[in-house]
Amino acid sequence: MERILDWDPAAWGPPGRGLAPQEAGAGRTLASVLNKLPSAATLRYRGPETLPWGSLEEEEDEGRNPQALANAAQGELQDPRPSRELPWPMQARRVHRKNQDREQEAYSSRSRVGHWSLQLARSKEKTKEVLRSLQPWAWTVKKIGGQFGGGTESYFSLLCFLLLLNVLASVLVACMVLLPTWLPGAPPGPPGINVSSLCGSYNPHTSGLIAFPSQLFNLLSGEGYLEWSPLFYGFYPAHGYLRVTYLCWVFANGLICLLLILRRSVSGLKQTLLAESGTLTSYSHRVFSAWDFGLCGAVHVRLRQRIILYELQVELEEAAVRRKAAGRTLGQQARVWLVRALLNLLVLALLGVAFYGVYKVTEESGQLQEKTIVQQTPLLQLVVSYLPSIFISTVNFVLPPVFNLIGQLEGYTRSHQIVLILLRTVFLRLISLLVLLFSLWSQITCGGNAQAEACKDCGYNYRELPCWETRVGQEMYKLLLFDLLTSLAIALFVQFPRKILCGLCPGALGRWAGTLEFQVPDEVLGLIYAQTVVWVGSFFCPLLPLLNTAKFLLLFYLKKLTLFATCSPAARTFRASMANFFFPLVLLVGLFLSAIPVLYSIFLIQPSKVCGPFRGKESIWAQIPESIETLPQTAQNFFFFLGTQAFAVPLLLISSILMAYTVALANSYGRLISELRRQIEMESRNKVFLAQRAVALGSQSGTL
Amino acid sequence: MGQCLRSQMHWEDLEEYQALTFLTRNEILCIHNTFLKLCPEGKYYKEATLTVDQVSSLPALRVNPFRDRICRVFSHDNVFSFEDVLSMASVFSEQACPSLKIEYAFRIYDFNENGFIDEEDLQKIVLRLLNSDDVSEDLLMDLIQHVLSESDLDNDNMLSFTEFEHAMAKSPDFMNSFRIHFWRC
Repeated sequence: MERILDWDPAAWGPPGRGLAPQEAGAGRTLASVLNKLPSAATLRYRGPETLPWGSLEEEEDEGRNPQALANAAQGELQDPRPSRELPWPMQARRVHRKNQDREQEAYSSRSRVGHWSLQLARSKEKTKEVLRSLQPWAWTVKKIGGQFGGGTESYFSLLCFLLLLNVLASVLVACMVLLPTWLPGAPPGPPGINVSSLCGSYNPHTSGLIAFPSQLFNLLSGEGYLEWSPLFYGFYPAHGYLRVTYLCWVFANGLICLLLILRRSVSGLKQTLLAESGTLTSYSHRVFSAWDFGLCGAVHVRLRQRIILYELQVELEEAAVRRKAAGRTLGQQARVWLVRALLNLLVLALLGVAFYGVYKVTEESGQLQEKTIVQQTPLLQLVVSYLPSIFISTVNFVLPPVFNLIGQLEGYTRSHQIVLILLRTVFLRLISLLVLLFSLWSQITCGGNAQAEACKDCGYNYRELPCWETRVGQEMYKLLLFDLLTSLAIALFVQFPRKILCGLCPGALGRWAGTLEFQVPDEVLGLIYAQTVVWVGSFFCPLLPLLNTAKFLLLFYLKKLTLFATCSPAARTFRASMANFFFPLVLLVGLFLSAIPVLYSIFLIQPSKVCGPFRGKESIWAQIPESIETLPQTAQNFFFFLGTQAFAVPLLLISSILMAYTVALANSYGRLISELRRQIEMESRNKVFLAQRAVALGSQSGTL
Repeated sequence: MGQCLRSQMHWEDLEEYQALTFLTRNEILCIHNTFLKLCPEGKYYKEATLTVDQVSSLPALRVNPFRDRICRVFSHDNVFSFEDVLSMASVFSEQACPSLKIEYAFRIYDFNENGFIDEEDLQKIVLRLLNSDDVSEDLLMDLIQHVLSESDLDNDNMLSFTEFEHAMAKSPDFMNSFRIHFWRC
């Protein structure tokens, strides 16, 4: 074997000096040599009768390989891809499409199967186009994305998606609950004061002359006329089939929401999981995807340039910090971890205080409503009944900036900080809702003590809460209304005046007041929280999805108006990729958390005996086994079999086996990919080595 | 600023453009309107051409730091025909497939058009992104070295198309940021 001479790196110019490769050595550079390879010819092919890309510099060079180009032409013209995906000029695409159509006609005329498959493909494309054009507000969302970036666009598209969920739920309610209620005739009115049973009497004050302010307060708190209305659970009569459809509606709603959210999050997941080593290509991503091509408007552009510079500097600083952290001594590391542990304890303490506050306030609110002074002043009554909502909103407003501050002290990198802050805020919002429900539960079931004085006779606290489902529904209704009112109030009394102030006050004060940003994470978490409230409340308040549809419609136009009138693009560019993955996940978590109180009420708490479709039953679920028993014998056997262990255990086993198999398959694919990547890298290095030798030999023979 | 002959687009032409590009009907008609307003007087839209300056001054491209590269990549002989404008809008549209966007992004970022994104190109990209002359040399070199060490697999200090494609295919933000909405009707 010959001795391989060391290649001379000076042949193609020293790296990192910004020297143009064309200037080195006798017109032959590394790039020009590599461009002559057959693979390069295929990549640069641009269609029949079109010059290959990059050919302008190669005109004088007879190195252009006509054979390679001819091969490329042959391969590309038979490309099975649709014409629009080819990077060729329009005329070349036209020719390709004609070829494709001719081939398809020939294929379909040869066999009927071909003909039908062609028709099927065409009709599928047409339906996809029609569905895409049916999406409402698609133009608006795109326009917002163009001006304010991908993060804000993801907020609005999430809002549209939740609107769709609520519309579907409302349609289901109308078909499965409202229709069966009115079909046999008008439902009965409320039981009066005279009717009393073992479990107390229930008298929602619906009649009599009431002053207008009282009417307004009743509307806002769901009492009075609204209490015995289709809005709340208590109104519905105790018909047999209504019970079945009511339960079926709840489960169908949950299932449909789950499927749609899963479908939406799977596409986001695919994108995120595809980045097999996300952190390792962050610089390339930052440089090549940094500029949002959709930006227009000189102000936004300048802002974006400042942000990019800031982000790049931060990224490089963080890399330096990471290098330094790797070289930290044991003592320094211990100190850092001690600080982090203390801060986490602080966060836990704050969360604990918040949750305890919610629990106490809900309890007090229930007790304060019994006082006579409160009962006589409607305004005070309203404030007392809204106490839990006010407290939760205050906590949700005050604590996240504190988490922000704490996050900055912890010494994590910026991206870690953002994730931690978001996780803590999500935890705060969702768990405070659960604590509110827990407090209600302890009022309803006397703290879970079935033998307590008030709960002994009927299984629930019948004196204070004769119709406890309506009470829970009212709390959710109040949360929904208060959320809407705070959004309106913030827009009207904080954001618009701030914008006007910015316009009136020149100088630094005006600029500080005017740089309002659309905080995407906070807004999205607010949306998810509102939707979780609706999911919890829709069992106790069936018309809640309908109200929520109206609320989200209003919110859409309000946020759009606020955005265009007052906001500028956010200083921290919120990566849309994170939005695609993280937010549907939180939505799923919200769905599961909302299922807990509903399922608990269905299975474990006794339904009210004086109101609602399930009065007189032992538990709400007990209706289902009774209805199954009225079915024919085979259907009965089938349904009862589904509930036995003989069905559940094999199902669990088979699911576990499938999951293990999929994980093993994914692992083996990952290994294969790494192996192939190593091989490709080695081959590429071989090719580059050979090309460099060719350049070196060429320049040597040139100088000789 | 004259106007082309005001002619409606034939239905067959519209269908053909819909099949050959990723644009929807409305988008094609909007671009047609804009084109008619800008092109010189008395010509049929299929034969008229726009200069590079006219396209660069469209609202969607006016503030883009890469507008000269975009115009160079999509124009033929330094002018834009109607079909060139449509092809450009198709590549930048919402519905375009990733492979097409990556292909054209590579061409746009290859400033010296040698078929590779080398250090000179990277330098120009970063300077255009930041649009300021007071970027320190260290920051620039540091950044370029980081990018090359991440994506350059065959160690030739340049990014070939396959390496670029490999890096960008994993970037979910690339598709979102490589979009332009041309319609302003």
